[in-house]
Amino acid sequence: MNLRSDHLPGGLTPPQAPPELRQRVLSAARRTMSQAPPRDLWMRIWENRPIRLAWAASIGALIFGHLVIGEAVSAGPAQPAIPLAVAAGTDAELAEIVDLQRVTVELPGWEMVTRDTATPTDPPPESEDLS
Amino acid sequence: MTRPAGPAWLDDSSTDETQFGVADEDRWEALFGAIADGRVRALDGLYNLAATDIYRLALWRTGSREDAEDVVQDVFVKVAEQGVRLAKVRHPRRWLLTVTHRRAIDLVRQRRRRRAESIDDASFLEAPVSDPDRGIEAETLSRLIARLSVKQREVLLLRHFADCTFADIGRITGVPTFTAASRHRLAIAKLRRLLEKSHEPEI
Repeated sequence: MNLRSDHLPGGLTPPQAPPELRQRVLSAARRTMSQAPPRDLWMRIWENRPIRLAWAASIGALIFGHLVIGEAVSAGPAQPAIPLAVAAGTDAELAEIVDLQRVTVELPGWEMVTRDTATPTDPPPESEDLS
Repeated sequence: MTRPAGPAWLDDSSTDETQFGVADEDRWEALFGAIADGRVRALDGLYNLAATDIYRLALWRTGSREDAEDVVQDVFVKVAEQGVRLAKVRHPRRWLLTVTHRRAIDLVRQRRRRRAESIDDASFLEAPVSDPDRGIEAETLSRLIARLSVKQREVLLLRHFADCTFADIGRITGVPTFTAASRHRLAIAKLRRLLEKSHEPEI
């Protein structure tokens, strides 16, 4: 029996799988395959690479839009002041509405801040004239 | 990845096997793809293509025909369980041998717990049907192969009877390519020593 460094004796082979094994193995495999749960729609979507990529791209686009476009909009020209107040200057009736005072709650120690009272009653101390 | 719609060898009508079970990679991928698509008959084609490799590896790894049969069944059940994930396997034959390797290790561990048996009687090699006179030679060599370590036996089988490269053997057994080659060299050297010793006349 000759045994070279890279060859086993020719002609001798490991045994084949016994023929009766085939039926046993395939029956078990078929049974397992038939018991596998069916794939639902979400699983199919998740396992589909193009759909996964499209989903990731849409999320990326949303984030991009939120960050970039939102910033650009907020940094745009300021809105004009309340147009009602501007219009009230010319229309007496509208000025009455704008100047409506808030409902006063009569409770001891409760002071409602009105437009009139909100204005500082005490003038700020005049700065010293250092000159 | 495009797969053939339904070649004959996908079903059980095909029984052809290439030498040592090595087949075209496309064939393996097509079979895995068909099983992933839920085609039960593709299991037959895969059995025709892979059962011999799996059985032999399991036998050389476990040293028991009974355990090798269990490993073959477990591997095919594992394949059936994989479902659509099979379509993503890049090297189906290597993947199957890797699963076989791992399952055989698990089985040997379980078996050790419940019984201790010798593998000296295991028939690792057989004489060709056309040359039954070599039965004694096969028996002698089988006894010597049984004295190799499991890892050395496994490398020998994968290299000589499954036509794997050392890189493939490394991936299947989870060791670097160099280690696989080294195990093979040591296995051949040890086998040669054992063979020479067996030829020495007893005093």
